Amino acid sequence: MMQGNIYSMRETFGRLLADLGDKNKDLIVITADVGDSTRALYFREKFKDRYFNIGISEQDMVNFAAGLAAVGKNLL
Amino acid sequence: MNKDWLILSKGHAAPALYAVLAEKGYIKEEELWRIQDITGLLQGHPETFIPGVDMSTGSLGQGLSFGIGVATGIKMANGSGRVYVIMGDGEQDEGEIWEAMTHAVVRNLDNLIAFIEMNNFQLDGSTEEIKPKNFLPKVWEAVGWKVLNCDGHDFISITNAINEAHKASKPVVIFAKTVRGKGFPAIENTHKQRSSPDDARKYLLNA
Repeated sequence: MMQGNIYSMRETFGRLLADLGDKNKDLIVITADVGDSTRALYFREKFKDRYFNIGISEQDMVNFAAGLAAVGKNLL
Repeated sequence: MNKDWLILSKGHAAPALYAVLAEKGYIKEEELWRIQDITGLLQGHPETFIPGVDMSTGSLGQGLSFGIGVATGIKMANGSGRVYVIMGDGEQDEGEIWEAMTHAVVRNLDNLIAFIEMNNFQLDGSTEEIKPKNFLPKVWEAVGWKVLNCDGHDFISITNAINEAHKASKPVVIFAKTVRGKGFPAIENTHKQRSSPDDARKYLLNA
C-alpha cells in the first residue's frame, strides 16, 4: 500500500490510527501531550471530539481511560 | 449513561459502603459479619463482583481519574448520570490527585462531584504530624473547582451540600469533616483501622 515510499513507524501509526477512527466510532485517542511526536494528531484532525490531550499526566491517563472504557468506549 | 456512579476511591472505608449496600438490598445483611473472611463475599476493599459496587478501588489516588473518565463518557453520550467520587484527606498526598483535579476542570464536568473526607488521620498517624492538609480547599478552589463543606456525620448537611453541588456548572468538591471511628470508643479519633468482628459485635450488643 505504500509503494515507492518509506514511512517512519510513527508516521504509519498516525495514519492508520486516523483510518481506524472511521471504522470504529467508539474509538477514543488519549495522549499525555505527545500528540505531535507520536502523530496521534492525525486522529485529532479528523475526530476532534474523540481526541483528548490531557496534559503531561500519565497516571491520570490510565485511569481516565479505564473510566471511559467502563462506559463502553475503546481507548488508545 | 443515565445512572449515577459511586466510586469509593478510599476503598479502605469499604465497611461503610457494604452497610449501605446491605440496607439498599444489594447484599444480604449477614454478609456484614464476614467482612474479610477469606471465604466471604466482602473483602477489605470493594470489588466489582460485589453487587452494587461500581468500581474496584483501594489503590489511593486512582478513583478521581476513573470518575473523570466515566463522567466524560456520560457527557459524550448526553447522559444524565452523575459521578460521585469519595476520597480521603490522606489520599490527597498522591500525585495522581493533582493530575486529575487539574484535568477535570478542563473537561467542564458539571456531572462530577468529589468528596474529601477530612478526618485528620492517615495510615501511620495524624495528618498534622505527617503532612498537613489545611491548604487543600484553597488549592482546589484555585484550580477551578467549586468548593463546598459539610458535616460528614450529618445526613442533612451532606444532602444539602449535594443539592448545592447539583446547581454548579463545574466540578464540585465537598470537604466533609468527620471524626475517625466516631461512636466506637476503641478507635474513635485515632489512626487505628479496625477492631475484630467479635469486639465490634460485643460493642454493638451493649450499646
